[in-house]
Amino acid sequence: MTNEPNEIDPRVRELLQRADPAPLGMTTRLEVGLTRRAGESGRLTATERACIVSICALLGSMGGPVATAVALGVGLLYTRFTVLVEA
Amino acid sequence: MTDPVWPAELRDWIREYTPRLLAVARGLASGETEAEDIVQEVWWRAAQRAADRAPEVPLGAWLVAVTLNVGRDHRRRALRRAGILRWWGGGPRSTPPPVDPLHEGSRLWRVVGELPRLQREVVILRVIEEMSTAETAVMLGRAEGTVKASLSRAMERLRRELGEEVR
Repeated sequence: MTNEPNEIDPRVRELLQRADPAPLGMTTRLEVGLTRRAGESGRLTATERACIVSICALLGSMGGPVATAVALGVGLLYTRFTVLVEA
Repeated sequence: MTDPVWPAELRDWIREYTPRLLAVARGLASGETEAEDIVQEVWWRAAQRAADRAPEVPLGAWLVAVTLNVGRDHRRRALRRAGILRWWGGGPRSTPPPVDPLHEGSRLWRVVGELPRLQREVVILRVIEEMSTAETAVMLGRAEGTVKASLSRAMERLRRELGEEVR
């Protein structure tokens, strides 16, 4: 590998090549996080959950306010409210 | 959602490349926690898309490019949130957070993240992977002159960021 002279500022090179030591335990946290996330990958995504709730609300709205509330409630319960917040 | 193809080497990659990716992520994050979140997201994407990486693309360059993409997505989301907060009366919060002076390299990475795509790729390959102009040109499918010009423009911008007189 060759490097043409003067094309790359040595200070820029030094700063960009510098690696920051990872905080203690970070790599372990990353590995654990990836494993956990892989385990959850079969579940519904936040967008999919939001779509289900929207469809429930839309269908419910055809039957009046009470039906809307009931359909929305069912949708929220089905998708679990906490995940909707993430969406 | 499809299950990721976990490369057998993923654990080794995490140990080897996380320090460098952290330096990149710090330039695009608003704090340590977000930087770690970005790196986590990078490894998730890397695990999912490892099979898509062309064998001739160096792993380090590929991971840095993924980090810049993920970091930019985070910045965009943060700016959107800041816009909503401003609209809601929360005051101006759209200015990028200051980078810790201890991590001067991260400040430069923030600038690299803002460069046009070609310049960004040239910087990664020429500076991080230490490829020659010819090798970079082949890798990117561009003329050597284009690579040189892109690098020169990127260096000018990076030197300006360092507060040096542009040569």
